[in-house]
Amino acid sequence: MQNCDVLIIGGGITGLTAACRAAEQNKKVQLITFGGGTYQIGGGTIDVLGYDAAGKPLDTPLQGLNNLPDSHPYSKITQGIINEAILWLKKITASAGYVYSGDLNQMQWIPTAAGTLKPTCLTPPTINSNALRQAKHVTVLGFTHFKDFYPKFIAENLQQIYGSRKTISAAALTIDTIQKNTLTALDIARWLETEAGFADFVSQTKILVPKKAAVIIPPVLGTNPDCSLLNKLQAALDVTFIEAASMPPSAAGLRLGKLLSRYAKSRGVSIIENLKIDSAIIENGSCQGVYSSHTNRKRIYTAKQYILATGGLYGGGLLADTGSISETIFRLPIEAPTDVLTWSNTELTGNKMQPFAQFGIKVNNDLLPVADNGQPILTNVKIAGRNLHGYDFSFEKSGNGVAIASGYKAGSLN
Amino acid sequence: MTTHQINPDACTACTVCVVNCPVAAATSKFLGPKMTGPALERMRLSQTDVDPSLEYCSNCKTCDRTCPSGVPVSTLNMIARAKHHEKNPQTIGEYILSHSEQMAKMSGALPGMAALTNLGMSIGQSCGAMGMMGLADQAPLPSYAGRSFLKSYKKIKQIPYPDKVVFYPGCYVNYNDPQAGLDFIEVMQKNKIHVLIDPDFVCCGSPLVVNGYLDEAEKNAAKNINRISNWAEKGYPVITGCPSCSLMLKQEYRELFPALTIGNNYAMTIYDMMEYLLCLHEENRLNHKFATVSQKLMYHAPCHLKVQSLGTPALELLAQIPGITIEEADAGCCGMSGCYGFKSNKYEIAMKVGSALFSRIKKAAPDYAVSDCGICRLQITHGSGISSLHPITILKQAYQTAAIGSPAARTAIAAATF
Repeated sequence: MQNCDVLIIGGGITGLTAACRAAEQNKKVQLITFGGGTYQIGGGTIDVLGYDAAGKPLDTPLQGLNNLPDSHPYSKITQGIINEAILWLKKITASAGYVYSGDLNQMQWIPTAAGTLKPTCLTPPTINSNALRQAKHVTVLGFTHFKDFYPKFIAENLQQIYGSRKTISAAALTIDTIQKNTLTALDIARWLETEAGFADFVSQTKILVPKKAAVIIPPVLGTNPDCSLLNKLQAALDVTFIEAASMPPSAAGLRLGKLLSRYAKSRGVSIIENLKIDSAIIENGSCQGVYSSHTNRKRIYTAKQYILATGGLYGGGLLADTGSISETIFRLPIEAPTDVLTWSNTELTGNKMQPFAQFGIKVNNDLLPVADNGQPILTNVKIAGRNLHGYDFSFEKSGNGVAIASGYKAGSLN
Repeated sequence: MTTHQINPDACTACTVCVVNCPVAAATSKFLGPKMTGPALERMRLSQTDVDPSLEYCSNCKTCDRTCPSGVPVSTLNMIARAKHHEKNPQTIGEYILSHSEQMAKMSGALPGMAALTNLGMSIGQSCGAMGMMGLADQAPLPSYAGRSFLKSYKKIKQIPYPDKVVFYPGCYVNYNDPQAGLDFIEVMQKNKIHVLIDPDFVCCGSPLVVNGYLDEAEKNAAKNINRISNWAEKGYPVITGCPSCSLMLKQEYRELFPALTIGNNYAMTIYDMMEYLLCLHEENRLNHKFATVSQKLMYHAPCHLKVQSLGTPALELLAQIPGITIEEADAGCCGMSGCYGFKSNKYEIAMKVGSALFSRIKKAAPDYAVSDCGICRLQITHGSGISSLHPITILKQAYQTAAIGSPAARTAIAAATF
C-alpha cells in the first residue's frame, strides 16, 4: 500500500500491537514483516517487570516501575500508558474469547519446565496461576517420550520451593499414535485437537490425576486463541490446568501471535510478509520512503509516519559487528564500546544485567530517535520494542511488556 | 536486484519453519523443513542419497516465507529431490504431472481431442487406472478447455493502445482455464492497455522442479529468460496469469539456476496479474468506473503468492468495487500445492492440510471463493463445494456491468459469465 498513514516495519508482538492500535483510530496501516516472528519462543505471557536492578524479586510490577532510571523504555512510555496498554490487551483478548488476566498490582508466579517459578504480569486463560496458588495438591502431568518436560524432575524442584504448603506429585501419559523421537509441545497440542487424541488424553488422565487437582502441563492446550479445548478438557476431567513456561515451540506463544494477527486483519491492516526493508530515504530529518532490494525489483513504500519495530540483535533489527552495533534500516546511532570484551559479563546467567542486552536506539518521550544532545534525529519515525536502548528483558523479566507498551504508545497517533 | 544465494549455514535452527509447515502439521511422515532442508543438506555433502521423508515436502514455500534468515529451505529440498531421482526414476504419474504442457498439447492436437481426454481421465479415475499410475482417483484433476487461451487469443480484436504488456498465461490458464486470460484482456482494454502474447514462451517448469526433472526445467528456464529479457529490453512488462508461474520465473530461477540468472536483470519486468493492477491503482492509472457488484466473497491467498513479498493485492483491488464484501480466509494452505495432492500417496495429506480452509469457507458461505491460483481454486471447490473464481473475473464483471448499467442486464451478464 502506497501513501498509507502509518507504515510499520516488523510483525512481532510490538509491530502487531502498534498496527492494531493505529487501525483502531481509522488509520490506513501497512505492516511489513520478514520472517515468521518469535511467537513460538515466547511463552505467551506478558512479563512487565519481575526483578529490580539488583536482581531482587519485586512484590508487584508497579513497585518496580516506580523505581526505574530515566533511561529505561518504561520511563519514556510512562506508567499511565503502560496501564492503558495492559487494559487494551485484556480487552482485545476478551473479544476473542481468550481473555488475559492480571494487572500491575499483583505479581503472578508461574511454573517452568525447570521446576522453578517465574514472575509475570498477564497470563492467558491456560495459565491459571490463582489455581496454583490456592491448590493444596498439584500434579505435574507430562508425556513419556517428550524430552522437553520431565514431570518427576519438575515436581521434585517445586516441592522444594513450596515445602509443606503443597504436595506435588508427578504423572505421565503415553501417546502411541504420533512420532516419538521428535515429539514437541506443538505436536501434542495438534494431537489433543483431534477427536481420538482428546478421548485418549481424557481416559488416561482420569486414572492419573484426581478430580479438583491443579495440573501443571506443558503448553499443549490447543493451537487456536480460544478456550474451546481448555473448557472441554476441564469439564471432562474436573481439574484446573496451568501451562508451564517451557521449551519452544510453545503453542501458548503461537496463540497470542495468531490472536493479534487476526485482530489486525479484521481492522483492515494490510500485511506484506517475507519483505525485508533495508534502506530509507531521509530528507531534512523526515523519512520519505523505505525500500527493499531483495525482491525482483526495488520496491518503495511511503507513509506519513513510520514505526520501526524490527527487534534487537536476535530479531535482526540490530546488527553486531566486531566493535560496533548498527541499526539496519535508518542507520541510527547505537552506542557500544569498541572493546567487545566489555559487552558481556562472563557469567551468562549471573546476578547482573548483560551490557549487550541494553544496547539499542535512544529515544525521547515520544519514542522518536534522538542524538546525544537529546534532539530528535527523525521526526516521523517512532521506535518500539526490542530495539530500544536501556533494558535487559531477560534479566528483569520485561519481555512482551515493553513490546506491548511501546507498540501501544507508538501506534496511538493523533 | 540481488541474486539469491543458498547458504544453509544461515539457518539458526530457530524452528519457525517447522512450526508453520502445513505438511509437518498434517503428517509425521515429513520430518519438517528444517531437518530435510538445511540440516540434512550438510549430510548430503558427504552422502549420496536422501532421507525418504524428503518426498513429502510439497514445495508450498511456507518455510521460505517464515525464515528470518533468508534460507530458501524448500529449494534445498527440490535440489536434493532431483539428485535422488538421478538414480531413482519417477512414477508414470509423476511423469504425467510434470509434463503438463506436453500432455495438454497432445490433448489439443485434434479438434475434439480435449473432450475425449477429459472423458478418458474421468473413466481412468472411476476404474482405478489412475491409481495404478500413482494418481489419486478422488483428486480434482483439471479438465482441458475445448479451445486453449492462445487459440482464442487469435480471434480477439483488441484496440492497439500504445501502452502494451506481454501476457504469460501459464499452462493452467492456457489449457484449463482460458477464461481467466480472456478476462484479463478485457480488463486491460478497459485500462487502455494492449495485451500481446509470445508464442515462444514455454512452461515455467514448476511441475518439473517439484518432481525432480531439474535438467528439463533448466532448459525451459533458458528459453523463458531469453524471451523475457527480450521484452525487458523493449520496456514491456511481462504479466503472469498464475502465481506459481511468476514465482518460478522471478524467484525460483534465481535460486535454482544461478548460471542463467546471475548478472541478468530479466526478472525486473515480471509481474503477477494482481500485482500489476495494484501498481496501476497506486499510480492513479487504474480505471475506477466500476459498477456495483453485490457479492460476498472470501479470498484465499495462495502460498506461492505469499512468498513473493507482495502482500495480498487482490484483496485491496476487489475492495475498490462498490457492493463487494470481501474477507480473507487466512486459514493456511489449500493442500494441493501444484500437483502434490493429485498423487495417490499425498491426496489424504493434501486434504488434511486444506481442511481448515475448507471449513472456514463452508462456514462463511460466500457467493464465491476467490483466489489467484487455478490449482488452489480447484482444490477449494473440491474440498468446500463452493465455486471459486480468479479475482480478474470479478474485476471484469464490475467493468461489464458498468458499461451496461441496468440491473436486468447485470443479471443477464452474470448468468452468461458464470
